[in-house]
Amino acid sequence: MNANATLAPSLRHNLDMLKNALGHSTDFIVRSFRIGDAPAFVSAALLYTEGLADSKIIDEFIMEPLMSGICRSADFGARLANHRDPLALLKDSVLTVNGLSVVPDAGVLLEAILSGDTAILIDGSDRALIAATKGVEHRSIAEPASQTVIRGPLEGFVESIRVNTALIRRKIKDPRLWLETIQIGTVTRTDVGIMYINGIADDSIVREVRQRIERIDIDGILESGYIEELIQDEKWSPFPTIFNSERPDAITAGLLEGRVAILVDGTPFVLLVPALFVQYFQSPEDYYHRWDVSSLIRMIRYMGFLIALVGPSVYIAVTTFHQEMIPTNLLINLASQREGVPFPAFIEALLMEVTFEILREAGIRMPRAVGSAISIVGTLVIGQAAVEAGIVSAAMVIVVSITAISSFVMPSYNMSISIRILRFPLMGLAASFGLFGIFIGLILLVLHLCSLKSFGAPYMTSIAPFYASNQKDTLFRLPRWGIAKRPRLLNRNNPTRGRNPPQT
Amino acid sequence: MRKTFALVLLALTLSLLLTGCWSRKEMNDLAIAMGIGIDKADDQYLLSVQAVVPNAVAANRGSSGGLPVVTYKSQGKTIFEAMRRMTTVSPRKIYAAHLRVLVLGETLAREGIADALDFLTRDHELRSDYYIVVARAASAEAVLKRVTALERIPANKLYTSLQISEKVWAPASTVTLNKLIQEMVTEGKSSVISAVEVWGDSRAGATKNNIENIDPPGRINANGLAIFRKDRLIGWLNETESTAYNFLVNNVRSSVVEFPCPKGGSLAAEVIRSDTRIKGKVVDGKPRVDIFIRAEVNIGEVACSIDLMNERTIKALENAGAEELKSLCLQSIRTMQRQYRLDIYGFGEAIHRAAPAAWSKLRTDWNGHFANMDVSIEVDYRIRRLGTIGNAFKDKIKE
Repeated sequence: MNANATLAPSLRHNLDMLKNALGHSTDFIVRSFRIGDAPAFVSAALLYTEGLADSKIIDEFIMEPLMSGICRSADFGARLANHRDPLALLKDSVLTVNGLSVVPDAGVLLEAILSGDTAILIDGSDRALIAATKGVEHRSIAEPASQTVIRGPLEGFVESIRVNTALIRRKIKDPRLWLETIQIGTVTRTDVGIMYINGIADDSIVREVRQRIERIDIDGILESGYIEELIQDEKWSPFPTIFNSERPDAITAGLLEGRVAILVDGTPFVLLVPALFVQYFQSPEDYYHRWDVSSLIRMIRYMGFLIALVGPSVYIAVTTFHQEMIPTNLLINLASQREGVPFPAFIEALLMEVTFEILREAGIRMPRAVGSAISIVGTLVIGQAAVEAGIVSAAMVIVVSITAISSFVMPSYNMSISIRILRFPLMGLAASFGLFGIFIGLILLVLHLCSLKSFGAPYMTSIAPFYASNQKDTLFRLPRWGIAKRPRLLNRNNPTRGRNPPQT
Repeated sequence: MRKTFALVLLALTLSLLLTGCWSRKEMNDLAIAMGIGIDKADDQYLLSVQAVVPNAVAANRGSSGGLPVVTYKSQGKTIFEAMRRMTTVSPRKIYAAHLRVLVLGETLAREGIADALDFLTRDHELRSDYYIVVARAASAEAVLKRVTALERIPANKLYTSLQISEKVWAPASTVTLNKLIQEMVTEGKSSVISAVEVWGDSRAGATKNNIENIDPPGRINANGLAIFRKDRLIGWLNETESTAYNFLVNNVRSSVVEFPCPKGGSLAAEVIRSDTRIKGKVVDGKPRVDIFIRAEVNIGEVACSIDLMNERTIKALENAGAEELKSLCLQSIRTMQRQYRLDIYGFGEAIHRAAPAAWSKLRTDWNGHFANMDVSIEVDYRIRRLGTIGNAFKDKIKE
């Protein structure tokens, strides 16, 4: 069947054509029946995909009206058979289901059926009625696993885009919250939604997002990561330039700041652009706790970022190049721990880091049931046994552990992966050039970060370019009455959040 | 972009090959030197280095039975040469950045220390925060060959006891390399270095026996000060002279001073603050200095019968104490003027500051002028507190 095939007036012909098009797939249900009663009746058929369509709606609001009441009479059969537009008659006076449309095109019809709608074909009509009966089973809304909070909403996005848009709309009841849907993927035809608040989001960013998404030419989209990779600005950077979250509150907050959300059907991870470097150190929870607590916690996060990035490399540099920097007693202690360790500090660190990365990866992949066994073995390997066997020094275990723990302080997992990667070149630099090497590495890193852009916004916005007004919510979070303005991205659209003088 | 990325990757990969080429040194390839001793025999320097045995010192390993330090010796025409020759006896490279004390042997000190100090100032590895001491009546090596208890590393023991006693004991003084060199090159002040003595059985002192004994047979202690003319040792200050020296150069942070009681006996007081000002002037071409010492003390111990609750007694005590300190200082200055003709107090500097024009005439034979100069001292004692009791309970003891 070619894509533009039209329907013929013959029901039998249409059914054969559609069945052939779907390769007689067994989940494609054709229910044939009659409207009216002998001698005057019209043959009809109901087509839907099992599992995608809600059978309750089909039974109660389509089958029941069509096969009972006036439809059971020969009079109605005759009237339908002789009617100029039988589908309009059914639509206007019989079917109780809402969301009905008439299509003449077999391609559109198939797509509707495959999205969960139900088609009604009647003999003698070269068009079909489509009833909205989408009723895909989806996971119930649960707490997000990747971004947990102590205080704040405990709901997370699910795999259905419809539920996800509803979750956002439930938080923003403003008509200016606009949603555009595009189907991407020549085979999967995945719904991709672009959501923004008209009047707050900058038009040029919205346009850019739309263009980049429309440019995508791919057979299938299975997760928002596909989209992220295809539309991000910088292809060769270890840093993520598109933010993602499975928390509706985080996405809503982004929309309110003038960002654009990209929702993809089939994944709970919603993308948010433009993304800034500092955004990866902010958790939705920062805004739910008191401002002083949040500011302190943010500082801990930046500290954790630094430790995770340069922890092992500083240890390598200081212990192999700059022993004069270590307090004497500590130096003696460290030196005694290193007695008998066969490897240079760099190899030692590399061994431990790689072991830890393996454990971490195994922790994610392994079946839950063997988890505890592996973690016991892992702790022993990475901890005591390695030290007692004299392969690594105890201090190195401490350094690697604190580094590992610090890398989980970041609320965003994809930033912590970047840091995981960057740690290794820095360790190499430290082993070759000492602190000098580390600083060369850090300077290169800063240069790179400053060169990045995310949908037109410089990645380091707020810090470089420096915006004084953004500082209220960058390294610190000031009290809410201190943050009257939205952060400055590219736009100056509607910058005022609200004015709340502190209560006296 | 791809090209830059590839280049960066290449640079990083290649840099790995450089590991070990530069100044990289693992901690277990170092012999951490805590004390260095320099002696001189004929025209050769004898270098002894006290290096830490990390395993025997580290916190949690328990004592592995060995001594915490080992002393290596070598010799050479220069210190640098001797240092490198030491690798033939030491299994590891001597790492001197954590040096705590530099001990100069008496013979070397009498011949002049300037040459020996050049390497230590020039070498980049050494920090300049170690203390310099002179071994009195002993070689530097002997000082570094004493095992000490409590502070397991002997050089550290010397360092900390100098540090603490400088803080709480007026006769003690510490000298670091920068301070010493600065004093040596400054006009109008000769240098002084703390002296260290070795006591007891030197053979037993160098073995484990020394720390297994409750009364260690061999000891080292800081005692008095060594005085230098230019860079040569010419004599020693005893405890009272050292006390006077430290009061005069305003180096007393806290100490104990004695007060004579009116009816005999004495009481001791703790100095809690002390400040000395030296004012130099030149009158009719003759230099003179006026010294003001202002000290605040707390009564610490009363070993005589005295009524401390009477304000007049306190006043009288203050005056008697001031006289005592004054005569102590004057006596020391007199010794320096008569016996050594050497200005260790920096009076010349004070004159230089006060009368630069006159100084240009005096500088050529400053020590000669110093020997004949007038010195006046004024001491202002303030007794602040009496401690937790008033009068001594001894007077109230009933039969």
